[in-house]
Amino acid sequence: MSAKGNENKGDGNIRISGDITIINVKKLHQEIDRKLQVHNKLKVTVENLLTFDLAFIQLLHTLKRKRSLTLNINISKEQENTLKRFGFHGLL
Amino acid sequence: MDSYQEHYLIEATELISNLENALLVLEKTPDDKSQVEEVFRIMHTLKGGAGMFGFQKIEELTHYLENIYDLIRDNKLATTAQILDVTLSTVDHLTALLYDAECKEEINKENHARIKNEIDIIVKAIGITEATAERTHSQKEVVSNASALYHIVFKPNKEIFANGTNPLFIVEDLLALGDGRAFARTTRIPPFDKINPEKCFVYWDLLIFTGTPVEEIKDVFIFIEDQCEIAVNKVCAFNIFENNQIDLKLFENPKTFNSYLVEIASRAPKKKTEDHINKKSELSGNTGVVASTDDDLDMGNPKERIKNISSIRVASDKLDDLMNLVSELVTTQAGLSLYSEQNPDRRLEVFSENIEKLTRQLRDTAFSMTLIPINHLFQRFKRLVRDVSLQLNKEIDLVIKGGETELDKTIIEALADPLMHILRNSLDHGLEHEDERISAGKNKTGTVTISAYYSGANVHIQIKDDGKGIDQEKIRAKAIEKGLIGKHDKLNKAEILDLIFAPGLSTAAQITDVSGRGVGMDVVRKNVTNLRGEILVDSEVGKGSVVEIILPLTLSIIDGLLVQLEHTKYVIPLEVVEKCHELNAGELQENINQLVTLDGKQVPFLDLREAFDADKNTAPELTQIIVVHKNHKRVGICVDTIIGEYQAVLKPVGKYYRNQEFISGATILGDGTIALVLDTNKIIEQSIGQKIVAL
Repeated sequence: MSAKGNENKGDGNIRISGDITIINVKKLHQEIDRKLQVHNKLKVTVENLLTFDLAFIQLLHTLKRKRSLTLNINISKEQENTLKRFGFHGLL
Repeated sequence: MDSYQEHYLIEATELISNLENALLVLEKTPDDKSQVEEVFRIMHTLKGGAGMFGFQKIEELTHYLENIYDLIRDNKLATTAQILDVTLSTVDHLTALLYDAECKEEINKENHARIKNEIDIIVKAIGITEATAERTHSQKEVVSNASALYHIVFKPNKEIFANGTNPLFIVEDLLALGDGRAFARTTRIPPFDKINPEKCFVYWDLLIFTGTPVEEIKDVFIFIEDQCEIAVNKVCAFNIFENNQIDLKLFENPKTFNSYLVEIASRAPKKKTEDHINKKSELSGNTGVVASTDDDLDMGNPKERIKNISSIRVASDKLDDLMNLVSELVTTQAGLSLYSEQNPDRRLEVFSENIEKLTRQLRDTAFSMTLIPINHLFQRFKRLVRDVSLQLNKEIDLVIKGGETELDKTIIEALADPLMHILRNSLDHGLEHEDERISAGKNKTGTVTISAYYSGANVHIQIKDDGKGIDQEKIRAKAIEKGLIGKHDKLNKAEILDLIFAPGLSTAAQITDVSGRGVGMDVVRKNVTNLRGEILVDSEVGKGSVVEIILPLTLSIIDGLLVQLEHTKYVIPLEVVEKCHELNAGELQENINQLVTLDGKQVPFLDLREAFDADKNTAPELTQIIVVHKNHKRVGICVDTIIGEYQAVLKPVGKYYRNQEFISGATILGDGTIALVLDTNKIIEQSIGQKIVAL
């Protein structure tokens, strides 16, 4: 499981993709936190996710509540259904 | 390696070992559904963690096997030898994949491809596709007359990720029980700035309409019951999800969940709701709705609550550190006791005595933590016996007795190779082939029994087979040929059999892959001796052989009797001390047969002054004789002075003492000087004049 898709664009945008699980969620959290220190407004886009787990879902929740950033979640229908099945209706 | 992956590695190693054992049991009882269930569950847990912690190759293999075993547990497939063989091959490969997660090593690549191919053959033969696998899961939606709606609260501990558990798999398993909905509660998730993303904050309210009994629902949590809080309560006997009777939005909101559930449950006709009432509702007057809050879970009947944590996993190196610290403390405490004796002060004496008492208790507690059941080791042999029996084409039964016997983990680790070697010898050279056994009037199946038991402060381990036994004449002839003994040497049975531990002696007519290279038994004895143990053998031609290993319970600290000879101090293990006597030195010096009469019985004795070539002129008028015993043999050891009891932290002796057979170790005394630990086994052997065979 790698954070290969966790791409930093160098501006106020962060795109998250690939495998995001407990293995790399801390690193991702630190990276977003670091960006937030620099940029007043941050845009986080989640797309082309391959694997994700509960640790990442929790992080998405915190991002969704964070006012200083905009969160766009573009995931597949199947992944949406998975989230719904596990009861994360509020995230979508 | 990430700390989570390390955690998974430990967990998975244990799971793989459990899986192997479960498969070996299943092989013997292929129709036992509970065993199939066990295999499935272990596989499922293994798969869950593998996917979560980056072991995709493990996830891939276990996924397919899990589907196969799912069909077996649903009676759609029988447990065949082919399936078991492939699964056992996979077990070996999974262990390799734990250390080569991406399967880069050539040998692992080859094995992976071969196993995958073997699995594919089975999968194609039974026609598993992802769709059928999913269907298998969904078919577990058991809806019978006894079905009911259950409210399940599943609240994982914050640390659950660290244990390699993925709570989503648990939710998935619960939903697979019937017609259900999960409602994730996210209110406990801290804000972005405060969250530790590696902790778990989510919990769930689940509503499941199923015919599965409560106990079986709770089985879903069987592997994580100490990592979560759960509550399972029956709500009503009808499916609230049928015909879209409900507003799911009201369940999604934790604030309206309980009141809406009460309302829904109360809609049922009275006769249907009679059995909805659970313990909690009896007390509260409500329906069986369990409140789930952010702070506490009301678990209803306390008896229903899953038990609290009863054990924790501790890394073995931490235990080693603890034992080292305790050893240092014991040495320091000895120094304090000595100082207290030399500087009389009432308060100092009280402190010193209390510290001594506490140190002893701490030592015993720390020591008990390092003891593990020897079954950990014995279980590994089941697989060995299975594989070797197939390889040698011999039917073999392995009987394990006393697996609960506990031994220092360091000893158990060091015992693996010697025991494996002895066992291989028994399987290969000891047990006869089927036709030989039948013509000898024996059962066609050979039996090897491995047993362990306590005897005093020692643990005895026996490996016994009912094979052809060791031919003493062959051993003798081989030993003469190798120049180990002279042609005319007279040896008794025990001495002849003991020759099997001599370097380079193997009487096996054929060198096989399993054993018989003529190296090994001498190394086995060396390894056992290094553990302060002893190895003995007995055998009867036509009936079988038994090899016995006798080991101390611990390697690090012993209770000893501190004695002195001239200026040197010695420690005698207290466990072997029977009695102390005082005699005139003259009585011993005039003795010609090395026997002394103590309490009306003649006892052989060893005068350490003589053995260690000390000055006879400095001998005190009164000599102390300490009688030590072993397996009914008694020997007196003569010293100048008995100082008293002493907790000895054992240290290996340096190279200058390596060839001194009466010394097995050393210890540092409170004043910083060294005391040598006497090897009473050797002293008894030499004094009695023959090796002790306790078989």
